[in-house]
Amino acid sequence: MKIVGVTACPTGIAHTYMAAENLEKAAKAAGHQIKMETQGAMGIENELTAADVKNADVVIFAVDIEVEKKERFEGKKVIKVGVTEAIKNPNGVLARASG
Amino acid sequence: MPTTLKFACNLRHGLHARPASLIAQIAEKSKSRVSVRKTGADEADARSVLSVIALDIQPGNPWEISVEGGDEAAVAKQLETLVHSHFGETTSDDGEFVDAVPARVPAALQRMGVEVVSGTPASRGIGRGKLVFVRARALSERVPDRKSEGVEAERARLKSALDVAGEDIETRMRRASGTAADLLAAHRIMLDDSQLLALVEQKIAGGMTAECAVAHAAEAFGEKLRAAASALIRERAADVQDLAVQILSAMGVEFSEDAPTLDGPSILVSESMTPGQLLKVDATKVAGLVLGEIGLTSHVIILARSMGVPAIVAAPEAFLKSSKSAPALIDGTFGFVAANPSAAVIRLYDFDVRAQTRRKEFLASFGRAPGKSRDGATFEVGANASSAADVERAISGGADGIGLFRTEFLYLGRAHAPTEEELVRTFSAVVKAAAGKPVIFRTFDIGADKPAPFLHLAGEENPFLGARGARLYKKHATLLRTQIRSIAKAAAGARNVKIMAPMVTNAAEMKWFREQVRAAEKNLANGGLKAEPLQVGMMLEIPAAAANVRAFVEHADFFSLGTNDLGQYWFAADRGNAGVAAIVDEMDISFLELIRKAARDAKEAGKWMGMCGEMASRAANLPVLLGLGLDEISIAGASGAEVKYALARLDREECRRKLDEAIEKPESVGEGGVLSVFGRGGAGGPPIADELIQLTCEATTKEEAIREMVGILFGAGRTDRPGELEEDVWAREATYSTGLGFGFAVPHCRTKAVDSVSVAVGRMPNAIEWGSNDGLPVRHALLLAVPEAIDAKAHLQVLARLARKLVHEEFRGAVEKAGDSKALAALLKAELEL
Repeated sequence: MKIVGVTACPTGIAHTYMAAENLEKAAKAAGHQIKMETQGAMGIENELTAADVKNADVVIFAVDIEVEKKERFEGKKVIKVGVTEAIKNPNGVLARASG
Repeated sequence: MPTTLKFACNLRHGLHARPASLIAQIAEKSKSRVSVRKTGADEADARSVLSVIALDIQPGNPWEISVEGGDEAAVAKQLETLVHSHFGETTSDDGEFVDAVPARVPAALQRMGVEVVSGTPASRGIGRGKLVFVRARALSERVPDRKSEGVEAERARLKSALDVAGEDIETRMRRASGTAADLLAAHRIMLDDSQLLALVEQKIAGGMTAECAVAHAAEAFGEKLRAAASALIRERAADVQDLAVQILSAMGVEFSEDAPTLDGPSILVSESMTPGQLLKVDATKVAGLVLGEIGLTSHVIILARSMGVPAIVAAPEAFLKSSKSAPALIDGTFGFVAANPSAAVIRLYDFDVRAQTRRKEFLASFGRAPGKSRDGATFEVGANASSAADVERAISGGADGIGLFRTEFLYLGRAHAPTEEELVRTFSAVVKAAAGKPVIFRTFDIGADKPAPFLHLAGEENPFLGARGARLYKKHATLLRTQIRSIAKAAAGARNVKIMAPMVTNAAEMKWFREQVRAAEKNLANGGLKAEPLQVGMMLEIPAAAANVRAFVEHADFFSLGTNDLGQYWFAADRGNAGVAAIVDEMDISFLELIRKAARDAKEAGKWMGMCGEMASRAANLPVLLGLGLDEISIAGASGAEVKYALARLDREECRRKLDEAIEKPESVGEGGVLSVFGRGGAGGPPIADELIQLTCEATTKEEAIREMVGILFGAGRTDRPGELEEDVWAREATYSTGLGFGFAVPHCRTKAVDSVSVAVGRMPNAIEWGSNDGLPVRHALLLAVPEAIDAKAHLQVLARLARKLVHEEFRGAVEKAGDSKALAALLKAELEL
């Protein structure tokens, strides 16, 4: 499965990156392809391109705030969870995404 | 017609006691009538220090001195020189509270729900002790109730009390040092105040007893001072009170209730307090001061700061009057006192005590070793001194020696030259106080702004360009020989004693000076005194000499740059004249090039070169001073260890390269000037270092953990404002918990309290509740402090990297497995790419 997604938390200092790292780790372990964009205090990093989004089977938003440039994901299947859930239970999030 | 001199007041604290006393000294000796006034207001007799300060001449106020009488022209000239010399004041800021800052309660105490009594912060630091309440009663209520024994008898009583009080102050002055000595000197001058004494005399003549007259006159004077607009002058009322207490004590009036006997660490609480009271109590037992409406520039507060005693002022009246003795904690930095602190509060502040101890040891370790830069180059950090007490403080403060011992004080303002015996005694005490470290005695530098009445120096049109320093030596050769002989005698048996001439212009002067030293030594040797020949050096204060060091190397063993005079002669601008003082720019390329050349010429000839002007004392200048190629700097004060610590963070080769580039390509220096090329404070050590890691933290709560880790940074010299750093950490914590889960927390902030990115790492054997997302307590905390001045991105990247690592069990396991701080430092450095 090809997964893309965005992580973002209110301060954008740590949890944004922990969520991204955790989802990447779990997805790779399960044999998925994944690219996570972080929207943190350093701005948007690892930004998803139109092609990334187009080719993805599913989009994961692990966010506690609004996603920036949300229009990029119109028409895609989006799973929305909180940042904490992505850190605590990344496999659960992935299961929902593939379901 | 009197001669009237007009000025604009450019003193930071206005025309206060010290400048007023210098004017009074000149007025006393003059046959003319000298008066001072704020332009457009009433005049005051210049001989009365108290009347002059009561004029309330503030910074920026126009003011004038009028002189009328026989020696009008000469006295006017003297006064003009004095005012233009800025009264010898330096413009350096002591970094203490000059303006009131509001009291705050530390976030940690707010979280713990601790009740405190707030007051304006006045002297930094934390103290613990028992509250001891000191009552203040009016003087007039304390004098004995008796009848006047007649005007003559009461006058005689006053006269003998004044003599006793004067002697008492002088005795204590000789034993005191630093601020306390300055203070006593000011009191000594005020004791002779003509206006105050006239008022006392008047009251005695009116039928009062001497005691009553002193008490009432002092109260009346105090009222007058308290009405002044300037806080600084209002505060002198306490000094007048002190004087009255001195005089009344000499008459047998009892004041023991003012200075209670302390039986252990004590926090003194009083509505008012005089410096005399603080000087009388056992200083080692004073843990803090809680006072009423007392100003931040009052002598008692200045004294408290110099003694390192925390203090708050403007405490609530109810507390000042409560008189309930109890154990208490005072914080003079934040401005509060907490009576009956709970066990939890005591525990929290125990962390400060431990951090303070580590800090002291840390700095002392720099003080004990010779000054060295990061790349291992030796750079001596000496100190300037003018008394044996100064020398002792400087050496124990970590100085490598005394780069300038001023001897003028033995001559200035005196009617007769000092005897050889007095000189030998003074210099021997200095050599002893230096405890084997080098001492450079500068022979008397008299003339210009430093008058010595017994020399009867002729008035000059332009004293700064006239006969001063070494230029006076041939004419006053006996005086010089006596001094040289005294220094040589004091140096016998000691090593490392050197002698240096001021204001040398040409090689002939220096050759002659050296001959005088050698002749004196020969004479003493003939008399049986065996001693090593003194090293003979010279000050470089005249541009013609500094530019031509090679001409002197035959006659001088060493050189010391006197940048105060060198600067004003180089730029042809009087540093004491506010209108042109800013023209003297020590960081001007031309001036730096002059000094660099002088240092290179000395090095080429194998001669030692130091610097003893104010330029050497400014902490921010250190990278430039190191880059100039000097062997030594001699600084004011006793902060040798701190300077050596700053030095240890600088790289000499890098400083030299940057300075050379600034001199060679001035166009490359930006608007911030030469100093901006060097950045701030030098390299503060790597962000992660062994000494910032503690694997056995004692904290049991989040408040304690943060304080303990801030204490690690303070103890290792990464911050000198731990309170501010802690508040910044808590401010960040308030937005979102920094507990990241997995037993890790990363409290962090951008702050003015550090100069370089620093990470304190603590392992918490007592798991700490941190409000983490996963509900797990914290086992490892990494406190990240980032200087506000640097780009936030670097700091965010570190946090992001750390956050990503935490997700991986291998990383967490490796952190847990690290058995010592070295191993953990290495792991974190590698993983976080720091």
